[in-house]
Amino acid sequence: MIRILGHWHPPDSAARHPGTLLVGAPERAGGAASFSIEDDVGTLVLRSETMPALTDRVGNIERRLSFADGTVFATRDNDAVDRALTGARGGARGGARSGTDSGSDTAGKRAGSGARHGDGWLHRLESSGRWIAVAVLATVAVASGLFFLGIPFASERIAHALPQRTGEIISASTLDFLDEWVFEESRLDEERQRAIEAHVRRRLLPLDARNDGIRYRLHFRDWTMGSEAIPNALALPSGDIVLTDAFVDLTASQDEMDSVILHEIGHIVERHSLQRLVEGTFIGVTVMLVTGDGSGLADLGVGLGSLLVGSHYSRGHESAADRYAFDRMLEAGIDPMAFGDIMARLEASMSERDGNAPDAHDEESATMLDYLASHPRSAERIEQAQRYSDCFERGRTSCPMD
Amino acid sequence: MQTLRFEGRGGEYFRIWIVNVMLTIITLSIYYPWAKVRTRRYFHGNTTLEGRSFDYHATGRQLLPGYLISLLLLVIYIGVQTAFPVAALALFGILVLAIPWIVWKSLGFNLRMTSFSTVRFGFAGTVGGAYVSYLVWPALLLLGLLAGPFITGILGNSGLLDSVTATLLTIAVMVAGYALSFFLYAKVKQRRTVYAIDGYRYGQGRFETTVRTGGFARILGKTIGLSLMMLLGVLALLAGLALVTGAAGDLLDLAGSLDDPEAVAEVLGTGAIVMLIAMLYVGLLLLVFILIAYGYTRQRTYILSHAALDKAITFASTLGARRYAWVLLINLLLVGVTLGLAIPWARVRLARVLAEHTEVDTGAGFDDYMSTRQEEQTSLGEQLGDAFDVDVGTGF
Repeated sequence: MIRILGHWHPPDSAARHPGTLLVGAPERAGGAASFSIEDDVGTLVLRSETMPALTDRVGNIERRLSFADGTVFATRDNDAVDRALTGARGGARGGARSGTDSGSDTAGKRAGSGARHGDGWLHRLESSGRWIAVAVLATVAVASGLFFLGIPFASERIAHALPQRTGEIISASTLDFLDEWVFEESRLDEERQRAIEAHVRRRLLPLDARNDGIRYRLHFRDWTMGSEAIPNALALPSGDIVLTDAFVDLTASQDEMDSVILHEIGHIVERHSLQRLVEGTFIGVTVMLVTGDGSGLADLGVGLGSLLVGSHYSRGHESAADRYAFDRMLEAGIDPMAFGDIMARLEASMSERDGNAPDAHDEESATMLDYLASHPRSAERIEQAQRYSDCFERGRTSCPMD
Repeated sequence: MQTLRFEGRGGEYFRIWIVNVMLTIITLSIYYPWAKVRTRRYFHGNTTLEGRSFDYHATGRQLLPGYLISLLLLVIYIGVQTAFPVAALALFGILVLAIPWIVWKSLGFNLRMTSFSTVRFGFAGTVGGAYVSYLVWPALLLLGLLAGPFITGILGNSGLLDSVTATLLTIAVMVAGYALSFFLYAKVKQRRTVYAIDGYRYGQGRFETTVRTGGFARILGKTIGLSLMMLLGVLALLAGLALVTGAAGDLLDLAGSLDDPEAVAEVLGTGAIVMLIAMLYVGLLLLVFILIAYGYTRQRTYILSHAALDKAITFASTLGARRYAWVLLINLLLVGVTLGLAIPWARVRLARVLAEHTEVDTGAGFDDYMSTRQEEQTSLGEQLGDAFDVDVGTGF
């Protein structure tokens, strides 16, 4: 016989009286346990042979035992309840069915089903120091695993599962927008433009062996900010590749230009824009769920986190596009060093514009801001170009990492 | 007068929270509804009055369908927002139209799933009432805000008036527009409070509120006055500091040389000006905290003191703006410094402060309240409100 001190409520009532719950062991093995409630002067209030519905243990909040007639016994003596009812449960499985139809009764039924499934393991997990340590480590590990591996992997799969038409839809009006707000008409002469385009069609496009129906189009534009012409090349998921006049002027050879165009084709073939879109959706949903859970205080931290992760992803994409370009160059018999040369020249031209000595600025900021950069550092990219170039000189058509 | 008590502890809640977070992550968020129930039960169960506690009765399984649908809608919403920002505007429009329905469903579900001293709360507000206070009045407020600029724009372009008359008229219209918006803002607050509280039920008992638009207008007026005073104070303080430290001269130099990068770098290099800007930033941040706390605590005091259960049980808030601002600030710093690991302590701290500053005059007591029979509810509305962060202020 276990005695538990607490309070009892008459059926459906808020009235609360001090009382004692007495739980008697089954009289014979497999028989039912007996429950009785006495008020504070020892008068019997209720006697029952059926197992009451029991709420789950959460921290040390009051446990409620709802009996078939709607009487509720509430107590904070959680340990005693666990001791008494685990002993009693064996004989009274599934006994908590009640007949009345009140609001508190439906709660009783639900809580009862929880008790029958034995949610006590949650409380045991929460009470064990070792498990809490495991939970902290697992949470940090799994969360960073999802962010750094899971989301990129899933996004890549999803991006490639979508039809190429998706790329055309999402960038349908992008070029029009850029033409209206950013670009001017190209000042290169028509003949030069057509020669480059013909060369790209003949020499570079056939290298895209996978070709999933991408319609490549080459565009020449002038991009001027202030008084500076910006050398740049960009790719849209639709297959549109834009070369700026300053970029064309900056290239010293056809090989250099080809290397950058192949890099852009790499972005298109590997569907990096779509991947970023899917990643953005994943991160957005996660942010909403995490911050929606309570304090908006976490907003700031999560926003910063997704920014960091976002630029991490895009840096991975740049390296992937570089590798794509290097491999195609080996296939086509172009020295990959051409890519290194044009990268070095691009960086020199940018540093000149910023009015800084090219090297000092790069070396210092690189260590600190490495993680923030959306592009890999030029030095790294040039190193890679050198590595591929060595392979090229030895006459290889592929250049695996050692 | 009795005071609510909160008996949860940060360390204890941390254990529940971290297990919730872990299970939610490793189940790819499917566990979230169960985590939510456990969290709610912890906070409800630890909030007590005269030794009687609250409880939350929804189950994870009951919340799951609504949660999955909300998650799907949220994924679509954010996906569209990322890919087609313009189409997302249309979706936002749909969301605005849905918000009153979500509020109505959400209030109803949460109250019916909450009990005090084993008797359930309930909600009797109508969906029409939700549309009036969450769509019609806010739309009028938006019109009020836009009316001033719109009318003056037309006046300016018509060329019918000479410049002096036009200027005077513009000022008059602007002032009238803002005065109208001021009143409408207070009206929106009042309608929402009345909608929620007059709909609350406890067992067979009914809540009632006597809040008036004027009460909210007074609080808003004081908040605006306070913000102007504090802004002037911060600026005066900084101007004084600038003069004393000689940074003022630097500032003038800076303004005169914005197009010359080297000169800017030189001025910034002296440090004083950077300190000044940093102080301005921190000062404004503190100011925003104090204003949020001021507005919230004043409204809480006003609403609680004008609410009653069956005209017999009444409420009061003793939470002051400074105390609340301090709690918010410390919580923000705690959570920031620990990268989120201190969230459980922050929540427990907030819950304790809110409970301990809530007083109830229990009048004839709660013993005569009985649970009444209620319809079964689906949780979709409540889950949508959670997913899309719809602000369902319950006043407590």
